Amino acid sequence: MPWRTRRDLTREEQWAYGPIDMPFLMLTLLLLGIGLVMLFSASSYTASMEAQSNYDAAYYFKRQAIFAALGLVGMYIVSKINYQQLRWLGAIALAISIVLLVIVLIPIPHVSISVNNARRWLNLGVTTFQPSEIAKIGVVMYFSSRLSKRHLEQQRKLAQQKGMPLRRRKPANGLERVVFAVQAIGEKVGLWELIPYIAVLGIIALLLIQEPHLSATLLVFAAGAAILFTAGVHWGWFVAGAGVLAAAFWVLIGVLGYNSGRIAIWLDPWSDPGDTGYQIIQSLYAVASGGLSGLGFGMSRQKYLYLPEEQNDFIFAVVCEELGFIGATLIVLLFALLVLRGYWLALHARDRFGSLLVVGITTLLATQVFLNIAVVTNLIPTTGISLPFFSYGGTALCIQLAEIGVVLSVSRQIPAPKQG
Amino acid sequence: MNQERKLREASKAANRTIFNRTLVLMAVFGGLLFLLLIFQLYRLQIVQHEELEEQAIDQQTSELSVSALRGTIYDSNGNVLAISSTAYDVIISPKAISERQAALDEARTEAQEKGEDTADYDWNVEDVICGNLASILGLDESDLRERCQNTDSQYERLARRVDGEVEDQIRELLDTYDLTGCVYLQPNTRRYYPFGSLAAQIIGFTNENGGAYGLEAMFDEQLTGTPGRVVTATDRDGVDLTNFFQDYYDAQDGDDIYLTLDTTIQSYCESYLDQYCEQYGVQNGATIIVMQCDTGAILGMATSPSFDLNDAGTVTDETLLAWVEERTQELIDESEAAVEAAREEAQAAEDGAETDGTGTDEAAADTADEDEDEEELHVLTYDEAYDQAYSEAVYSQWNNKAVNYTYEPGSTFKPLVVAAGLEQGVISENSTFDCGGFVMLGDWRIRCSNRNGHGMQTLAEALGHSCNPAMISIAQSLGLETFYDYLYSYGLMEPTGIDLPNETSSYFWPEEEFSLTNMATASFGQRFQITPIQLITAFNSVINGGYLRTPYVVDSITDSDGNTVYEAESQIVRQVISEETSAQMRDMLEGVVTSYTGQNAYMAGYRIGGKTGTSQTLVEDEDVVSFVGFAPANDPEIIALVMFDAPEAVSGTSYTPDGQYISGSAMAAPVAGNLIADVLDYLGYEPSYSDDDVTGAMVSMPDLEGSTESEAADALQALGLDYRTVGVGDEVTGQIPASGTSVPQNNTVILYLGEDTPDEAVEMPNLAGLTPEQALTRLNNAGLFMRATGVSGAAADSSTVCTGQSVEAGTLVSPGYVVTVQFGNRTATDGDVQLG
Repeated sequence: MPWRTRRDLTREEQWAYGPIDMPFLMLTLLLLGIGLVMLFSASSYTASMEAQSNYDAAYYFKRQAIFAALGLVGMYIVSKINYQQLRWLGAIALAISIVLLVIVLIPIPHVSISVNNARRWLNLGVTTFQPSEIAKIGVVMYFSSRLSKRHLEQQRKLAQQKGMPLRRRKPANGLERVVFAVQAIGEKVGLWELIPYIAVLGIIALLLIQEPHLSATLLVFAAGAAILFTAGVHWGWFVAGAGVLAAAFWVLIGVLGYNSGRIAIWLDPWSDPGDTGYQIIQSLYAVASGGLSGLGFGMSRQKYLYLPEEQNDFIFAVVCEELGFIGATLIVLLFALLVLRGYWLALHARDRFGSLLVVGITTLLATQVFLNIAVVTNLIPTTGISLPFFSYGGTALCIQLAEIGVVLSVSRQIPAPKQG
Repeated sequence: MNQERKLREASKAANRTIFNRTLVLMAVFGGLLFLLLIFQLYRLQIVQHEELEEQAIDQQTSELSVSALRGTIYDSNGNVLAISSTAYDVIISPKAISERQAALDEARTEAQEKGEDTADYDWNVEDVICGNLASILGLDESDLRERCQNTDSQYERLARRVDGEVEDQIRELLDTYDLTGCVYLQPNTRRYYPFGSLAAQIIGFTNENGGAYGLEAMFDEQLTGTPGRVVTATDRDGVDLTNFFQDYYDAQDGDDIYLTLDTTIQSYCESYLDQYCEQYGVQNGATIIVMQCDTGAILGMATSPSFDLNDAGTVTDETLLAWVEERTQELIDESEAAVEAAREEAQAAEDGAETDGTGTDEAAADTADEDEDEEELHVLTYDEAYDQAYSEAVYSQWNNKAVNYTYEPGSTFKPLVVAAGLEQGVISENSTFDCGGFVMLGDWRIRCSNRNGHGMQTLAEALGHSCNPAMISIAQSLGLETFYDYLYSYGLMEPTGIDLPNETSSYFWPEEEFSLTNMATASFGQRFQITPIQLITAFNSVINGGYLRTPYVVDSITDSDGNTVYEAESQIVRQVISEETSAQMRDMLEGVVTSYTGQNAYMAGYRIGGKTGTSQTLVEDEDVVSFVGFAPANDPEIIALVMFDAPEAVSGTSYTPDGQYISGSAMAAPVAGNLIADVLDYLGYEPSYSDDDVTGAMVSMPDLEGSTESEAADALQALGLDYRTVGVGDEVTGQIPASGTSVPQNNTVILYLGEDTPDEAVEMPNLAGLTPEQALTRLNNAGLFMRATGVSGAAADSSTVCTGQSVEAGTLVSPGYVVTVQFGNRTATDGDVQLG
């Protein structure tokens, strides 16, 4: 294809070359920078004690920095892609992710990796990655693209109904009467349009539970639900969904007993300080030790092998310890601003697909940040979930930055406010 | 068109929905959730900050305790009585041993591969450690090997507190082999008592937890000090992060304690106890207390039997060991009797059941019970019984008899009654008392020691005779209430407050039960119990001007930097009697020693006053004999109490198997007299002799050689020495003793005129049973000199005879030797009570 100047582009294409949203980019870069520095502080002692990292204190930092650089390049490239292309990519990404989620469950030497009895990782040679990351973005893309045309389908159905009313004939027998009644009720409450989404979420959830990977399941559900909600699915479904979840939770506690496992440890970590409560206690020690102004950068004491996963799921505990309430709150606020800016972009996106895409990605980010910090501060029971831009993990970081790239891509096509 | 418009409207509606719902999500995910997080951070980082940080620091730091050295206990002259030194606990780490072995094996394999010499690696760590340590520490090697198998352990203590040679041997082993981490010596402290058994019950001893007994326990807090700490940050594996932070808190060594005890005086007390407990065959122990009259400071306090503080759990006293044997048999017999009784009871129960012919089940159950009982009630084996008896003995030897024991003081209590009478004005020095040999109290006939009665006597005579009816009469004049009040005033109703642990309380009749009969027996010191320290404290108030002074043994406490943190001050509890009454009492009590029952305590040159006592206990043939004496009588410096509990008596008599009359006068008084003289000598008191004394003060023999006989005679007369001459000549050519020798006055020295001084050894004559004059003559004739102690001079009467000599008869001694000869009144009694 010969080089075309701006002039030669179609209007749609021109929109795709608009400026990216600077506040969103800056917040991302700021958080990424802080995250990298804190990762260095948190991981240095462990790294210096491990053979795996060649006793190099900067081992994790260096690797993460490389992935961050790669991720930023990726983010820029993604931001350049016209996100309209993602409409059809959604279904493909979803299909690929489901295949990968199946592969990860099959024990293949050197391909699927099992850590601590969890099969979440695929080996890429230089690094590993979790197919669940693809599943998340796949769900977001697929749901967004389908739901952005929801009104069209509704119109089509309405038209169909007008032309061929459902009750065009009397039910032939008792069975048909029941079927018709169910059909009618399903139609009325909007059940039928939900079936593909529920099916997709169900399949992915089923596969993720097999790994098992509760936090990824939660995130996929959150993103999916957010998009469904935004697209206008009746709020009663979400109330019902929340009700079902609460009931399930209640049954879990009721059946398994109040003091069972995670819940008991969550309510009182000191009931088993040496074993199951150890991790959360160490995290609470780190968080609380920070006090108002923190012990100072690099001065965490809990990172000296007390805190497990201090470079990963519990990195925010080290942040709290070193930077104190002031620093931790500041970082939480930065995340909040990023999330708010994300939703702001969704509000202003050029089309419904863009809005839903950004809502999905932003909700994914917000949920992940919330769950991570809530776990670290024992607000919710412990589940393994990393903190975006902070936790060590190359592919996850790259995929997160790519997601940011998608948001930026959407931001390019926001029509400029009217001048004058 | 319609269709298109509808679509556009639907599209707009969809956009509106998305806009509104995004706003909802914005509020929830962008606002609410983050507020929740900030709230939770606030709770943890601000509200729970201190609580959790404290716990965190607790796990992040390791504390190394730096032991503080326990304080030293000194006597009044700065002699060390108890001191701590560093000793080492021997620790092995089986984990390190197995790791060391693995490293060694690896090194050997490597060397073999390289074809190098493997000699350096050809040894077995466990063999070296177990073999050597077993022999050095005297442990069982197989036992040691078993402990080495516990490779999870990093800390197995093999021995506590080793030092000296054992420590050296282990260090040598560590130098020879590289056993870093496998075997190590952990510093600990060891308590050492240089004087062994000296003042054992007072000083006490320590155990793992610090002071366990005596002053060591009483002043444990001061002696212990504050252990120091090194707080180091560590990682989870316990690796020190010294570059992170490390805090030092210096150890504060324990305070040093200076006692009022004087090792010299204490050893006088203990050697007298040792000597006389053996001589008298004392069954239940004995005590001696020496106290400073003007302060209440204890200069010596000894208890027999005693023990070595360095080995407090071992009984060495022979009497006590004999008691252990006796007690062992007793325990066996008791257990036999108990088993027998149980069996009979079971038999009876069974018989009963059979005759009843009912309740067989019940009976069976009973029998089962009995069987169970029998499991416990078995006849003790000899070893079991011996162990039990031995531990009883160990506990009993730790008892400080002066403080942790009560007895009936007997006649030594009488001066208190007399002083109270004088003070209250119910009697005076001129009062007279008629003793008919007994007193009737209702139907109760109380006899006096002299069954024929002492007849009419003055107050001084009554006290001297230790006359019971006189005391009863004084008590009656005082009246029940006043008498009882004086018991309080003398401090007998409450512990003295001496700074020694577990002071025992006295036993008296409750005031409402205090009757005339009770008062009658109390007036001569019977039927109530007080501690020896209470008696000497009260007695001291009678003779020191009337002041009841709290006795004490701790003079001062200084911290490890030498600052005085405590200094004892003599404390007057109250003035019990007036100075005048006290002066009268001193005179009368000196009279008791010079002229009456206390004569055996008389020491020429020392003005000793005092009172004897013999109290019967409820156990037959177990009397307590005692004497409380003080000197000099005109201005008392020291007061001493000597008490023997149950000298061995020939059953039913008042004599020991040796024929020694059992009484405070015959037994305790001479010991007290000698002790007081020794202590006064030691304290630098110059004895002053009267003309009545057989021998006088020690004088230094001048060099008379070359002088004429008359010159020599003048010189000797000036010194108070007699002389006799041997040979004929104008000039003194030799003399016994040699010049410079100390000779007591009144001895007859020998001057050789024209003859050489003989130098062949002289055989010591037997002086037993001789009067002082006879003994002096006998010795002087043999060319020996006499230093008389005990009864002499004013106290001597026709019954005064030699009761002991410092050198045994028949021993060869060089001419001019000064022999110390003890005199006593064999027949002296001290008003032992006769309750008819």
